[in-house]
Amino acid sequence: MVKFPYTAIIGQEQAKTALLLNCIMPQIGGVLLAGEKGTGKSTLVRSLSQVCPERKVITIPLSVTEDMLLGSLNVETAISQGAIEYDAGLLAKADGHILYIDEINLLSDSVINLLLDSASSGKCTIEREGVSHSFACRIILVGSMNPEEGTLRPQILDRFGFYIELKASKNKRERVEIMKNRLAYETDKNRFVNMFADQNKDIEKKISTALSKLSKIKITEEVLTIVAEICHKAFVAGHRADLALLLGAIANAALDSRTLVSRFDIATVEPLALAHRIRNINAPEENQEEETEENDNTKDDEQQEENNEPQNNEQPQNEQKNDELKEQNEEENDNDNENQPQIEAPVDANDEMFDFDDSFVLNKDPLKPAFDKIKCIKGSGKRNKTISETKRGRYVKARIPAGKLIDFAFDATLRTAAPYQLLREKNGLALSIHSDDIREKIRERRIGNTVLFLVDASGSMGIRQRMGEAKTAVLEMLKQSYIKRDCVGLMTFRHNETETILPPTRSVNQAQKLLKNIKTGGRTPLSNGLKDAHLLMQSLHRKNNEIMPVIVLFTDGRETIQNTQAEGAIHFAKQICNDEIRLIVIDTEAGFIRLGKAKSLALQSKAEYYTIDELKEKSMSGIMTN
Amino acid sequence: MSWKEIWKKKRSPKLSHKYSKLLNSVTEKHAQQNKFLILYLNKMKKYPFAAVVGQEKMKKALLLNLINPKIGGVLIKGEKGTAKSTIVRGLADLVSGLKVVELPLGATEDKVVGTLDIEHAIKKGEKRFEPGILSKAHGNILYVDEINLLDDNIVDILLDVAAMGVNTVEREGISHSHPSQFILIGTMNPEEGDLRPQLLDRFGLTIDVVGESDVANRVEVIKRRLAFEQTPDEFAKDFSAQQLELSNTIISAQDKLSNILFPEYLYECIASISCAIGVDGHRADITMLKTALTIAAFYNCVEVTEEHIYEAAELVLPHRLLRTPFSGKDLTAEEIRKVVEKELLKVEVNS
Repeated sequence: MVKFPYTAIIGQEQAKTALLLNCIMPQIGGVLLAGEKGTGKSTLVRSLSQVCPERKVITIPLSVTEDMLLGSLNVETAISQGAIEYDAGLLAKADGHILYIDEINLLSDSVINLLLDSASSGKCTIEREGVSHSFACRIILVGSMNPEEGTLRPQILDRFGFYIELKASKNKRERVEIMKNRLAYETDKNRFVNMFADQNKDIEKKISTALSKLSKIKITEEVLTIVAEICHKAFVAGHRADLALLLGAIANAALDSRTLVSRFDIATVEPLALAHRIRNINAPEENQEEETEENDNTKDDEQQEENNEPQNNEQPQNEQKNDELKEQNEEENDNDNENQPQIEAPVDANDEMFDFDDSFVLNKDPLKPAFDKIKCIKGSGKRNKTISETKRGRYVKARIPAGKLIDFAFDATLRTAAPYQLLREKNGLALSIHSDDIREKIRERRIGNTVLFLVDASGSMGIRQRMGEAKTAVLEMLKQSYIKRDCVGLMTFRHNETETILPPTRSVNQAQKLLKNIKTGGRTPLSNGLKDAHLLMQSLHRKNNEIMPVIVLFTDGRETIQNTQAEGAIHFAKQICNDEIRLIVIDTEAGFIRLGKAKSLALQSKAEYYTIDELKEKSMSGIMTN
Repeated sequence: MSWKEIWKKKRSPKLSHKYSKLLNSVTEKHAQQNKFLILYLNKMKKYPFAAVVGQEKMKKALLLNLINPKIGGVLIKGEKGTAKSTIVRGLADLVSGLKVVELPLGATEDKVVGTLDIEHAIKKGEKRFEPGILSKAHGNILYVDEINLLDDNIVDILLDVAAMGVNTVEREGISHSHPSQFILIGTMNPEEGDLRPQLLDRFGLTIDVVGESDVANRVEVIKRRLAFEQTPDEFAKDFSAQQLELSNTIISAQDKLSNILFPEYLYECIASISCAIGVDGHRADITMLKTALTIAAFYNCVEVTEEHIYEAAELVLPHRLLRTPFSGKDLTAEEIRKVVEKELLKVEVNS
């Protein structure tokens, strides 16, 4: 296949520099390219071997299994000769080359960890299937991702030497050039590649001179101090940043064929090495102001790009603040500081309608999985990649089955049985497999919650803006759901009935539109609401037993219609909890006199409980203004 | 390998021929005994593309992709029963060698990417690659009905392969890679959930379909469907001339494609449209350019005109807006028209 020429790629200078520096100095620790779709991330990486011919670009598909990376027993020789031989895996083959993963944020966690471990230690040891082996694995790890599809955990980010955010060009001339180049390439690939052959050669030469210069580069004490100071000022975690910055600066000097590292080199490399590591300790307020203006992720990225100038340490990237939190919490927290949207609700005069409350800022994500509860829900976990208990999901590795065999892993079983084939009685079959050879597949699958918002729309919710607050809280939680790709549904109860406004779907947009139009008024059939919500969740669970059902109840707990059954709301709430459905009660009761009915409901049924004020960031000021 | 070469290679007896053979043998032997079987086999026959009433926009978008597969596929949004599947399946008869490979929603990952051939391994004790759907889809149409309901991990793979045109398999002891370039055609009902942004962007064009609103047309839809179900072969014969004409249009447009002129000022126009609307990345520009060229070839023109740009914009842009969780609305045709007209005017004034 004729690849798009490296030098025909227009713009994206930072990414180009980062990749070249890594080719010269692989110790920098790889590059992560983050950017919106269609910015030439993968074109750039794949064309790299043109200017650096001694390094191949090896692509890792997302469906890779662990044994393919590490290598495994050679089944054929094991069966025919009973010999244990080792087949090199991708990592061994990639020694000295570039390992590229497109959409790295979608790769399974265990594979990412494995890759990063090998890349940083430069070697890899395996002990499995009777094979004990260690091999060199000096790789340049290059990943690309689109942050819209989810981000990487901060500790994974930190292990990449450089991080670059790519943006599409806003310059019309450049856009025209890009179009023309692409068209020319597609019409006649060979001609187009020839056009750029000389330019590619120039860069190739530059790299080889740089490589020869590398050992002669001198670093002054002053340069070291500058590096240390920059990293100190930026509050980076750990010392990886210092090292990446220094090594990058050395490589940059070599690329310019100088023998002395200068301030200029450091300035060039600084944004690459620090962008993903800066933690902002002293300026949280500023961050919020910025984020209120830009209340969506994509724009945040844009802003970050603008802020990438060397001296600027106001990097509003949420992950970085959370560095020191517990590991599991981190990815859930990423989006906690999401802010208030400015939505114009249509003014509608019938019934009572409450607009979203503008002063409301969500500071907690109640949908964050409660870790103590996880064990009891089958196939559940954080709202990300989890180990799947059924046959769906991505096969990552194999294990010895515990209990009944559900998902047979043929390849792993074959490898286990292979060395014994010469010795075993086969009864005319090609293979003899004993029961203790059998392995089953471990699959990973991303599971989102199935969240049903059960909103009390009775008359009492109309008092004191409560409905407005509740709507905003639901909206904020919907936003979280959008990012985590949960299924959401919406149900309200008022007058004498419950109404399923939206059965759970992935279409969060739909939920938001319908949410706007919820009207309040009438009495509160709380127990009916709980009962119907329970039924709905049960039927969903019957259809798909892997879902993580969550009911979020917004109410003040004042039931005004008594159910015929004696226990009423508490009875149904208990049933929901007994059914392993998470029930989260958001208490909307406000004001001076509080009856605490919602709280007692939550306590008695052992549901999770939050007051609506707890969800607000500025809870005190919120109460004051009311 | 170019798409045309792939198609040439594939001129082998087609699946539909197998069915008609089977049908003929059945008709002779069991005609009297088993009417239901015949009805069933008749149903397996393809409704001719040219016989579909209305849905001109969808037809056009699909034909453009046949002329120039590099446009990158079509996403069809709309309700059930709007002839989406019929039209897509009918495409295969327009280009010889072209198949429509379906990716069912329940497909497992190993069936999609291909896997270890277990039978071969057991019998011979050797590893061999068993190709999956992506291998069959190479040089063909990959059709995913209800693509928004596809399992996430299958979508991940589709993204990977659609971007690279190569399916790399590293699993279950198999290391294999094969080319997999396909025209991705997906359908979805937006009410059942959104498509992931990254996958949305991989589609070159999107179109919204609705049922035919004209009563006369609706009647015609029913009439033709009935005629087809009763005597599919004769029905196909009635439309064979039109089918042939379409096939010829495609072939001649394919030949013309590389010679279409693209006026300099329109490059800038495309860039300004993208900037004005605010799209992610550069794929919108490139797709608009390719689509405009293909439209010109389709209409048998020598040069791309402003009207072609407008038509291309209408197909390329609706799903490419910078999207935030809740701003989520596609651009309407009028909005696009306005932007395009404005930008065209600006460019003209400047030049």
